[in-house]
Amino acid sequence: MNKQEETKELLEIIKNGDKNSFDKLVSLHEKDVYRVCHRFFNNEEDALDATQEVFIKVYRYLDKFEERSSFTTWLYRIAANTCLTIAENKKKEKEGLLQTMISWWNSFYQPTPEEIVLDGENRVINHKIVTDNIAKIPEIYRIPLILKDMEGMSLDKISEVLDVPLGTVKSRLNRGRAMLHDKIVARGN
Amino acid sequence: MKKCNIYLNFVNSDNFDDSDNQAFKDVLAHSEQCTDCSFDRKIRENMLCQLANTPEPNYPTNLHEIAFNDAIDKKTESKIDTDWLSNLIIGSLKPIEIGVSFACIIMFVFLFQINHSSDNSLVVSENNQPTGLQKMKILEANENISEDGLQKVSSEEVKEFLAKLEEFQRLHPESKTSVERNRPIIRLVGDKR
Ligand SMILES: [Zn+2]
Repeated sequence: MNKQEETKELLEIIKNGDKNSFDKLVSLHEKDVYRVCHRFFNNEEDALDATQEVFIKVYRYLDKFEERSSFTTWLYRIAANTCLTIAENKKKEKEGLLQTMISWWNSFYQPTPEEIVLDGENRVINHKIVTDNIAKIPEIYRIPLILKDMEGMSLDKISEVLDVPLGTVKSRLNRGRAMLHDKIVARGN
Repeated sequence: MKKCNIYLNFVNSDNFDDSDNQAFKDVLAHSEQCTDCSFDRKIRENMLCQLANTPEPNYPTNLHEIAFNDAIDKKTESKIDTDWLSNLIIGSLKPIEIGVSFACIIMFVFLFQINHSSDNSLVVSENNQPTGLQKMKILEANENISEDGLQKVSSEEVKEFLAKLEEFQRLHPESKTSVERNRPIIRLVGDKR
């Protein structure tokens, strides 16, 4: 039985009142959710918080899930929205004076030579520079980039997950890629 | 020389997708001949390759515990409660915050007004030295007083006044000290300070 079939069966059991099977549903999808969240935040703490939040929402709204879209589409939508909300809340916290001063102080930090991973001759890009810089891209462009270029999701499915037109997915993806490209080139110079 | 951006402009355009189309093939053919585009293409392809092959993160050992147990057993109820409570506190503090800010603005405007309205009095005591603005106002006021505006007094009139004052002090000895303390300084035109 593949993952999709197993999910479908578990959903049936849960909807028939066996809430204990929710444990198995979480086990089946927790790594996917955590991976997307980790790629979004690039740190374990926020990724864990987001993962927990996602499954709280899944548990709370599972009754309302209609099988018009697939469960994974619905799950990724919750994950994307949760990441965006957490990022937004963190941004508001950072707007405090103390945080502004810390950011100002941190702006003087310069990367050490070991951190500059663009090789002068071959221009080889280390995956660390890529993942580090993804976290610096505006969230709205970051999500399609993660789903398409890291998770290998089709543009149509991303459009369904994010509930935006295909054209919007394309433009956000290409802008996200352009930003990442610029950051990598700027860092290598 | 200006950098060629044919490749970058194409792949960065809003409606570009990776699908195999002739226009993209033409741009790729151009990039093989152009140093700038060849460099940009190398970076872009390398970047996409790295993204696709990004290793999986290290999954924490307590992932399931946090995703399932904590989420379902503990967080569901408490999260709603704390959200409700914090929203209530934040909601009730908001008008106070706005009120205090507004009061500060009014106070500032009021103090600013007082400062300007007291400029006309130009009262300067010895212990209260004039500020820069007051000094300017005093100088301005002094300049406006012409010598013609001062009343000229003859020495006979001064002598007569002093004699009257002496006579008054003799008749009212108890008021001497207070009169002396309050006697105005008479300064005549041409007197040195
Ligand atoms: Zn070119």
